[in-house]
Amino acid sequence: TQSVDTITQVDNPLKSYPNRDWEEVYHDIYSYDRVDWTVCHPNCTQSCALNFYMKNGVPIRAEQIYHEEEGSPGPGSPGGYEEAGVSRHWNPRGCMKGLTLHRRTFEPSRIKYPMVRKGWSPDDPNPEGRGEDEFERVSWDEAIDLIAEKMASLEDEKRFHIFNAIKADGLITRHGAGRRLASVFGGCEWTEYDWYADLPPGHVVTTGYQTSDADASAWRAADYTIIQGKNLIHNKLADNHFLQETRERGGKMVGVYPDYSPTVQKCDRWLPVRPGSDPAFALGVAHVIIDEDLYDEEFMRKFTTLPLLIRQDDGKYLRAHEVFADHEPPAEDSEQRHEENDWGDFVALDENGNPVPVTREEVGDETPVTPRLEVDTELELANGESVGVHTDFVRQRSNIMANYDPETVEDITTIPADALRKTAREFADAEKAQWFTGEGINHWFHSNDSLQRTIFFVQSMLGNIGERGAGYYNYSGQYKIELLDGYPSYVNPDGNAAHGMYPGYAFAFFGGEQLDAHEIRGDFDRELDLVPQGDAEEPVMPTNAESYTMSKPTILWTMNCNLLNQTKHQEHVIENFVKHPDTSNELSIVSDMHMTYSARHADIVLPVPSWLECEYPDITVGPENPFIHMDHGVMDSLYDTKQDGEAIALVAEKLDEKIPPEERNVDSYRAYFDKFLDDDKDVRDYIQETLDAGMTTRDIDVEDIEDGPERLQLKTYPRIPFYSQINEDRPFYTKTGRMEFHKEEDRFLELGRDDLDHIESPEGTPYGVNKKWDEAKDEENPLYHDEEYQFYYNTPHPKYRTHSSWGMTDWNLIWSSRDFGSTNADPEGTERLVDDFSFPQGEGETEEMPPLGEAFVEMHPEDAANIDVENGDYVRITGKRGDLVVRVMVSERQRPRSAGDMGQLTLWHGWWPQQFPDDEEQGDGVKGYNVTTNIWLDPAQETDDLVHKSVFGDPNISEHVEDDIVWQGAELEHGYEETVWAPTGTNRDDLVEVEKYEEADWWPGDARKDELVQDYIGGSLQGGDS
Amino acid sequence: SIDRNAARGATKLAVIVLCLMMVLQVAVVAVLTVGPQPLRSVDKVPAEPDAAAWDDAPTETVSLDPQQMALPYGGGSVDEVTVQAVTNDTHVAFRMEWEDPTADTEINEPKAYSDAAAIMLRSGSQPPVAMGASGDPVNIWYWRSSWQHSESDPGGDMYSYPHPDNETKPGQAAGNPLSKSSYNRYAQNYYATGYGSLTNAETQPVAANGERTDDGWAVVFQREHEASGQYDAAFTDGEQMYLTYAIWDGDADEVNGEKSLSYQFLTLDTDDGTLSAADSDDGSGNETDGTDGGAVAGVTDSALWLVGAATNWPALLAIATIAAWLVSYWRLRE
Amino acid sequence: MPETYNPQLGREHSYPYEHQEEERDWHWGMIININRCINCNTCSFACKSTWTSGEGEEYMWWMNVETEPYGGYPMGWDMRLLDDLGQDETIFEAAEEGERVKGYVAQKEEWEYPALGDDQVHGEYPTGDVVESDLENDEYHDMWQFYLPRLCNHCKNPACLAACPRKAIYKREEDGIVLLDQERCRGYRKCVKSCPYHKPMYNPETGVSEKPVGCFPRIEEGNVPRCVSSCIGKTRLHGNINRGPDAGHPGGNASAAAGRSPVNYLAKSDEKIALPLYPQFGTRPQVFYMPPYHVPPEFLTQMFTPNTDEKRNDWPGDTFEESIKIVQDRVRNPSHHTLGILQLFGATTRLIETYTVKEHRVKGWDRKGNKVVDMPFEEEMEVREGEMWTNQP
Ligand SMILES: Nc1nc2c(c(=O)[nH]1)N[C@@H](/C(S)=C(/S)[C@H](O)COP(=O)(O)OP(=O)(O)OC[C@H]1O[C@@H](n3cnc4c(=O)[nH]c(N)nc43)[C@H](O)[C@@H]1O)C=N2
Ligand SMILES: Nc1nc2c(c(=O)[nH]1)N[C@@H](/C(S)=C(/S)[C@H](O)COP(=O)(O)OP(=O)(O)OC[C@H]1O[C@@H](n3cnc4c(=O)[nH]c(N)nc43)[C@H](O)[C@@H]1O)C=N2
Ligand code: HEM
Ligand code: SF4
Ligand code: SF4
Ligand code: SF4
Ligand code: SF4
Ligand code: F3S
Ligand SMILES: [Ca+2]
Ligand SMILES: [Ca+2]
Ligand SMILES: [Mo]
Repeated sequence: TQSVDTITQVDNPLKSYPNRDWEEVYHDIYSYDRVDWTVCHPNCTQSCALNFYMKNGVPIRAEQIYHEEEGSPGPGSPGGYEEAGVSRHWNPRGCMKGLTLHRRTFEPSRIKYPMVRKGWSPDDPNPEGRGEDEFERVSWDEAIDLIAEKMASLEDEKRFHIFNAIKADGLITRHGAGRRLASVFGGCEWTEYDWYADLPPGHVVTTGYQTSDADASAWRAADYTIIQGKNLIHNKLADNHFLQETRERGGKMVGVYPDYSPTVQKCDRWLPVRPGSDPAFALGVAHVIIDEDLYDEEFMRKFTTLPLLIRQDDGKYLRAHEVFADHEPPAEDSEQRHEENDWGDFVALDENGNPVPVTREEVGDETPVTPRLEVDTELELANGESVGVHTDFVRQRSNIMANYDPETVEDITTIPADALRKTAREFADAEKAQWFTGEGINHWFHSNDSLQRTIFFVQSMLGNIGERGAGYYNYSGQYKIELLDGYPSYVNPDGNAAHGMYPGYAFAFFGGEQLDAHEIRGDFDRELDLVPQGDAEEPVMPTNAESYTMSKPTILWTMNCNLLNQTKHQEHVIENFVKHPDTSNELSIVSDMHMTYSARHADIVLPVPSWLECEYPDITVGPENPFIHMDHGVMDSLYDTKQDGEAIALVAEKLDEKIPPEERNVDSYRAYFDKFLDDDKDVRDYIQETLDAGMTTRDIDVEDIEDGPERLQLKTYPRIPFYSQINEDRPFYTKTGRMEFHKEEDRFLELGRDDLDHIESPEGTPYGVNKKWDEAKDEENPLYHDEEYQFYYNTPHPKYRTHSSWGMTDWNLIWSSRDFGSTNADPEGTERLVDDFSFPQGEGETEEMPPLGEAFVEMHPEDAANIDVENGDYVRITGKRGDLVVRVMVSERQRPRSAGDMGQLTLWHGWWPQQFPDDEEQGDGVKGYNVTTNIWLDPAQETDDLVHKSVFGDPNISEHVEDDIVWQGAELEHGYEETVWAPTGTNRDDLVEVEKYEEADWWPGDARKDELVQDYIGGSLQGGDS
Repeated sequence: SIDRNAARGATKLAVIVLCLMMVLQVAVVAVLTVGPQPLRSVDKVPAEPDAAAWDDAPTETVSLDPQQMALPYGGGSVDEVTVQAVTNDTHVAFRMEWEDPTADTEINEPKAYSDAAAIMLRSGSQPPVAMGASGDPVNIWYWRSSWQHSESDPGGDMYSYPHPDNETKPGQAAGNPLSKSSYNRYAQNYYATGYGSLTNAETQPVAANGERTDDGWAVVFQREHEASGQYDAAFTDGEQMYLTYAIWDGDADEVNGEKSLSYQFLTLDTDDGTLSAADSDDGSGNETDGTDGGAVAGVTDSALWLVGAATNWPALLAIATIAAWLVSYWRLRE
Repeated sequence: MPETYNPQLGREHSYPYEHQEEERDWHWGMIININRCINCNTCSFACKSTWTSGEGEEYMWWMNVETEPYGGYPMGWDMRLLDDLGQDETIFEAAEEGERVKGYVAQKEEWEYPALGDDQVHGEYPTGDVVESDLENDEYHDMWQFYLPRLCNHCKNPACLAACPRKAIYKREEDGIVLLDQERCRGYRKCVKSCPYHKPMYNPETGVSEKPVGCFPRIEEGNVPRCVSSCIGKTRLHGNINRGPDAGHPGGNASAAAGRSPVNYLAKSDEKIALPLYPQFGTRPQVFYMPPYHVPPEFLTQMFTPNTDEKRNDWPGDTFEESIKIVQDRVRNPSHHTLGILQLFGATTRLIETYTVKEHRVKGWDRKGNKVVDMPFEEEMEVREGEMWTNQP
């Protein structure tokens, strides 16, 4: 053939080609030596198993595990997740971030060996030098010794704090090991789920249950979806398709957002809402449903407090002993009531109008009689007095009917009344309807309870609970650890449990300078009774919140999180907690694989291996999928790293040397970690013990998960929240055993938040702050009107990162930077203004890297034009708490000020400070996207009275569980419990101002104004004569 | 020596003919300026374009025209090249010098093309100008400024390159002679049997060296007399060598067929050492007066081959153009 | 130049090379359901990490997802060509003299922002109003965006192939994949210039161009491409676009279903639901898109139909705008059969050659006739009986 000719001549390459040997080149690129698998498990909460293809010992690419080609079996091949007992509908799992895990492993930001800050010494922590001093390389032994020495020198063990955020991120070797140390040592553990504002408090208020989310495969069964303040298409990437698939199956989707969130493109209808006004929308929907009699009375009677009677005089649920003389009252003392899980029985009126007692257990079909929903009457009590009572339904109805008709709701939300009506009717008409919310509302002071409570109200009026395809979900953050119910046996060994600790308090009040405790509780300020509590010296705690642990974090050890980057009120945190000369924090340890902002500010930095380099296995679970995964490394470690578990074990060992036996909290600290240390022991035994100790895992062996993911053993597959409540008449985890709409706890009553209502934000509103609409509408928020803080600062979660993770991974950074992400960076912008893309090394050196992109803020073209800003220019954003300079991306997605209220600025969260330019005019050091956000603490959430299910175990089934299940006997809890009931962060509830900072002649400019582009968009570009 | 009026008229007519065939062609204008030149014998064949040895070597100025015989057409940025030739017992060297205000030495971007130059040669008989033809191979020596003068390192901004480097530069992995990471010899030796068939020769005996002049480039090609590869031009005593030249200006996006070339072959008579225009008499080496005859013969030669490749549409267009031009030219000259 | 019949246009036009007399038995083809795409770019990262992570390939994204209408990699790639092209004129017909194909080489800078416009939207903020789409009432989003996954189409009239002066690009006989010979390419970049989809890319490190390889090493093994297997949106199906209703059992295996491939069904059956991107360019691309149903049909007509006044091909409707509307409706309300095929998307990494949809089950067979998928439309719900279980333990 021609291929052997000296001269190659091709005849017709459409038909044939002479020499194809060269194709081997691509076979070679494709080829690999070995395949190994592990799990990607950041705090995106999805945990995806991935195959890594290795060449010369280096992973060259990753693929999702369902690959069925020969030679790359991976776990559970063939079929991938099918092997875990689900259908192939779950294939494939793993997003673009999983596919760059190997690139993340090779990033220059990796921490390469243990380091100590040069200005730090155990006796003189010199906190002012944090973030500025150089680091010195030390040996692991030295680093461990310094930590143990400081721990041993503590007078009060509670001053040892550990913050180990990502609970999906490895439960035995990572999070679990840290918590176990805090538990046996007697320290505190900070929590993440509430602090980062993932916890939806309205869920707990209504159902007593942490968060009610279904497995993603259940979404697909819905006929109708309302999605509000949740950008699900970016934040649940791996399993999102189940939602998209509803539409192929006849499902309809409506989105409620102030901006054209990427998820809006999938919606049939978008209802643009004034930021933060969301509760009114759900109240308007409720209005239509009530007004047009679209509700399901039977469901309401069976599963909610709606038929229960409430005293009109004091707002408490009427108790049976008040009506029936012979009925046993509950204990006088509230503490005792909680202890006995007996808050009295309740009262309803039967069909004939006669009062009947209703106990906590009498729910569902066990509901006595057919209680009336509509009661508004005087009732004679056993003591002869007569009291005005009405049902919860009448109470909510009258408020809603009086205040939230669609026209009023239009005034509040800007959502047209007719569109709201249409949506409400369609939603009510759907057989199975689901409602999603997310951080877009969780991050608002009021939305995060009143909206959530109202959505439950709507869903229970429509019977949309406990069924596949119907429900109310949140899907923010990670809490699913609760489904791994053998976990307490590991983290709280022998009854030693770390004290729960709420980071908001630490940052607000344990610094050198304190905030005014009233200031950060919105406008509840002067009236609110705040008193010193616990062992903290500062007056911060509201009454009725004894369960909050207050102890100053002399030692703070964070791992698995980038706390200082992700924290709200960042400038305050840095200046008054981290760097203030009088800070209570004397030693800050950060364990991470990357030189994050937090690590940069640490005193001791400990390098951990990347997930691909790990020696010890670990397990993870995630809230929207039914799987349990086990991860393990696929390659040798590049640097002098140790996994968290091992570092902790080494500290424990040192503690045994330094602390005499009689002063120890337990006989030996080391003994609790010996499987990390002793050659003849195996960390997998910890895992097996944990699996054996839980209902959901007791039939799973480590060997099973070594071969690939398994399915947790839950009541249903797919997991349906409240399935047992609705289908098997189990009580909800509330005092009444029902979904509670009216709340009788004093704190709610005091604050006027006992019923479903819309209340204006404490800051993010043009109207009267912290007021119900009636009053608020005629008032002006001076911050908005006088100081012209007229933008709402939206910080949604980025697609190409999870939080700050992957923030320095090349491809992810380029894509995250959108218009400003480029292989060569934009010489006018990035290179000029960001000259510090470098990472400190232990010898006082820095490692530099080319900036591939930078942060940007999106702003509506009108608003940009107003301050003479064009695409690519820089602006300064100023808030009450700090300011930052950032590049502008002009974006029609954003809500303009001309929409009638607040303009919207969107700055995706998780950028690294390096990705912002310095403010050369004002020159303050703290930069980042979180400087303007606030640590709002909601006093409504600062109460010990709220009853809820504790994280682990289920009181409904306690009696039926064998003794070897660790949580056997679990009861209802009340008050503060980390990740279940605590004031959440509200990162989005603030106003900012924006001004032009500097012009940047960015060449792609604003091409969108081009006539060509307009013709293109209109579909008329082609066809001209050329 | 050419009847310019006639030529112009012929061109016009040819254009009309072509318009009828839907493709605009510009006529081949063979402006011949060559005269006999001695091939200077030297002691040492110079490798540098500014070597003293060139000072005394006679020059020949060759007119260049855009390539318009095969798609894609192009070229025309450079309209003449000055050539010289020297030899000694073992080696022969050619020097080309032309004007090019832009030094295009980088090919680091999608739109960056290198300045380049080539000599096409064959000994014995005159080949078809369109880089030979099937069964009629030519030898081409090619110099690229980027091989010699590029300073940029175009890759390398990512934070990691986990794949083995030798595999992920596919051109390099495939052994593409253009994909080397660096070049120490700035010429490549090719064979071709018609355009589209340019092939890197197994033997690479040619060296080149090009330097910027005040207003352009000067390039020296150098090789041993002896032919080592199958179709290498052999500088054997008594065998006439046919040569033609091509220049690419990167600034004008000239690459591949888009070049300025001489349709007129020069001959290098290794007997009497002259570099001169080839005449119509294939391979005879007889001198001509340097008029159109050579051009016509050369073109006709190609045309014959082109007729053979009748399925070749662009070639047919070219033939038609040339035929139209020739007919008109003769008519108008009378 | 030879003429060739282009069924996507319903007419003949010139193409520099003669086609094979008979179509290949097997030809690479892909379906993408845009409505499912979540713009995660997992496909892009999968492709890049597999094929182009070397030096010189930094800016290369053979697979990229761009947000219409503002995205574009390289910047404005399609706008410019649309503007330059006349009505009913393919890039071959519009070629300037001296060239084979009309096109342009995008500047370095135009390639450097792969995520330009990512997630952006076009339209006026609906102050006091809502954005609504309701196909029954001819209502579409007036503020819109959609995600357009873009890759090499392994065209049946490849422009890249037509333009290379060296014929260094060829179409593989066995599967129709269009490859660029890394050994013979001389970096002329006529392919870069002429591909209307801008998928051949120049490697400044090797001095020659590269073009997407259609994952041929995977296709050869009977596996689907990386951008298909990695797609967590389950937007994609890959297979033999040429396998029509009359084809026999794959691998001669009688237990496997005979007949058309699922991709052929979606692109070529009477229930046509997937359309080529810019068929008017004339390259006969073999990636077919299920168009987004919320987007105004005018834009989609420009993008997914030949966009001529006269409708000559066999697509549904009397005009191309009508074709689009009909297809949009089919995508919004897929038939039972199509819904069945949609379950095959992302179900297996094996290449599905034939399939059946029976009641609520769908099955697929590979090229050898082995069964590779057998699944229900919906999973059965499982409930554990027993007092010790609750849904929230
Ligand atoms: N790739 C990736 N995956 C992840 C993460 C990540 O960082 N990256 N993070 C995790 C975690 S821990 C979380 S908490 C989730 O991402 C939160 O996502 P979510 O969609 O709820 O909030 P988000 O803030 O992102 O989006 C909120 C949406 O609401 C819009 N919005 C903002 N303000 C409002 C408002 O006032 N009202 C309403 N109704 N909507 C508003 C917002 O624009 C965004 O679309 C999980 N997966
Ligand atoms: N304005 C505003 N603020 C907000 C939000 C918002 O919407 N707006 N959202 C929140 C929310 S919801 C969340 S959940 C946080 O962003 C989560 O941040 P986090 O620090 O956990 O994750 P991130 O990914 O950043 O950091 C995780 C770190 O852990 C490292 N890592 C990962 N694996 C390990 C490991 O095995 N061991 C150790 N020791 N470290 C490991 C990781 O490198 C990263 O630095 C919070 N703030
Ligand atoms: C009218 C006559 C000519 C025609 C139609 C023509 C056509 C072409 C074409 C189509 C190509 C690209 C295809 C390939 O690589 O094989 C090419 C490349 C080339 N030709 Fe010619 N050619 C002509 C004359 C010449 C001459 C006289 C020379 C040398 C003096 C020459 C040297 C080259 C070289 C070196 C290349 C590669 C250029 C590069 O890498 O950019 N050609 N020619
Ligand atoms: S980042 Fe999340 S979704 Fe993506 S691969 Fe990792 S675990 Fe899966
Ligand atoms: S899409 Fe472009 S590169 Fe791919 S075959 Fe078609 S013309 Fe060639
Ligand atoms: S088929 Fe393969 S080469 Fe082509 S875009 Fe997809 S992954 Fe990339
Ligand atoms: S992987 Fe799939 S869903 Fe994600 S961007 Fe690509 S085509 Fe879209
Ligand atoms: S045109 Fe041909 S030579 Fe290479 S750069 Fe393109 S394949
Ligand atoms: Ca600042
Ligand atoms: Ca030049
Ligand atoms: Mo979160």
